[in-house]
Amino acid sequence: MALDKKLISLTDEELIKEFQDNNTIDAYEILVRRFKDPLMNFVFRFVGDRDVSTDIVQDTMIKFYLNKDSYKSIAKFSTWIYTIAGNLAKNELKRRGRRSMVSISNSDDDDFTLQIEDKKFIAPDRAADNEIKSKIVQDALLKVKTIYREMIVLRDIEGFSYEEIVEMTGISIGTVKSRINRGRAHLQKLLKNIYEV
Amino acid sequence: MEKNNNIGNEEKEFEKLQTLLKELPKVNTPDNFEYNLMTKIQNKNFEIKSEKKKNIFYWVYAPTFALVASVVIVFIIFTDKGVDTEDPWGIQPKLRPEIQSEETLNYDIQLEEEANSKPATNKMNNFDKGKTSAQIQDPNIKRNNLSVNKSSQPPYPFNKSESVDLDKLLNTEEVSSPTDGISQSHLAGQNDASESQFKGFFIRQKEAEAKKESLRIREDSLKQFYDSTKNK
Repeated sequence: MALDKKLISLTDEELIKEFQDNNTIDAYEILVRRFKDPLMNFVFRFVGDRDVSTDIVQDTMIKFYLNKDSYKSIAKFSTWIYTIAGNLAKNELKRRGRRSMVSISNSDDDDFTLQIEDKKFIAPDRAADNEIKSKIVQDALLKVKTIYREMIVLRDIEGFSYEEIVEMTGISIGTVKSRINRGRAHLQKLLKNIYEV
Repeated sequence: MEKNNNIGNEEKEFEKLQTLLKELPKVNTPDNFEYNLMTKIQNKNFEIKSEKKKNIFYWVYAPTFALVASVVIVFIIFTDKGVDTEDPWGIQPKLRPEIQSEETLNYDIQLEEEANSKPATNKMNNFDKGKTSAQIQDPNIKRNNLSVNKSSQPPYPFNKSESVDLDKLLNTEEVSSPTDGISQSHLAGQNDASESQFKGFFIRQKEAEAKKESLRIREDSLKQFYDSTKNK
């Protein structure tokens, strides 16, 4: 499908405006192409399941298609679409939480979490392997509380500024910073074996 | 400035961690992602899996439904009590006053006969049991006028052969406060007894008044009897 070259050169905000005003499906497709992978990465780091993440990203895109008029040009398009994806991901996690009453990953008890970490302990020489390393990081990330995890993923993985995170989550900048720090501290504790390498 | 320094220190503290997180491999959508999405949109298959609207609806409105239901039940219970209904199985049928007086008369006669059959020495004992029988035994005592006359007087304050508007009849003062000493009307829409067995509708009357009247009659009789025995 050949997309209009003119449209490709447009910014995200211009594209959504084009889609809103003229219902140009090409503009929508360009936005989907631009954001599908970053959203997938964000949702996967947040949820930890590839198939579920794919579904969530698809639902995000459908919501974007259906509710295109709810976007206001005062905000950045990326902020808006990440907010939708984040909310859907949180809903999914809540649903999972209801299904499985006992969740080790959301436990506040650090000692208990560390015990599990010890069981899965991988020798440092093996941990050097990138794939395994990323697996360990991902597992550790999923053990961090949801509210902290969201912040870490947005800030340290997706690289958003504090202001953008404030806009996405609707909480104060102080809370955002404190949550990021707490999340990082917890994650660092969980990943102490990797740092020793 | 201090705040910025603090933030800088915190960033440094977690520098390794941040590097580690940034080094994480990027996860991409599957190849058929766009195709599936566009197919869904073209087919208008917009079912969003990550949302459950049914559950939300149920939990939000459940307390409201419960409240409304309880209010309705309470309302029905209390309004039902307010309505003046008669339980045909629970109420004893009331006797019409004229029948009631007739019955009293019959009862008196019966007692009289009983008293006659007994010896004269038991007279005083009979005073306590059947006061009216003693009245009859004594030739000086007559039944008071009220009890005798009542049965002979016409109890109906309207024309028997004509139909009667009950509401109108009950609302008019003439009927509700009769001047001829007869108690309030008891039967309405009555036909002649010779034509049919139907005696007419029974109009609700305060029970207390009828009882009071019968008691008063008895009291009068007793007084008269007592006076006569005293004089003797």
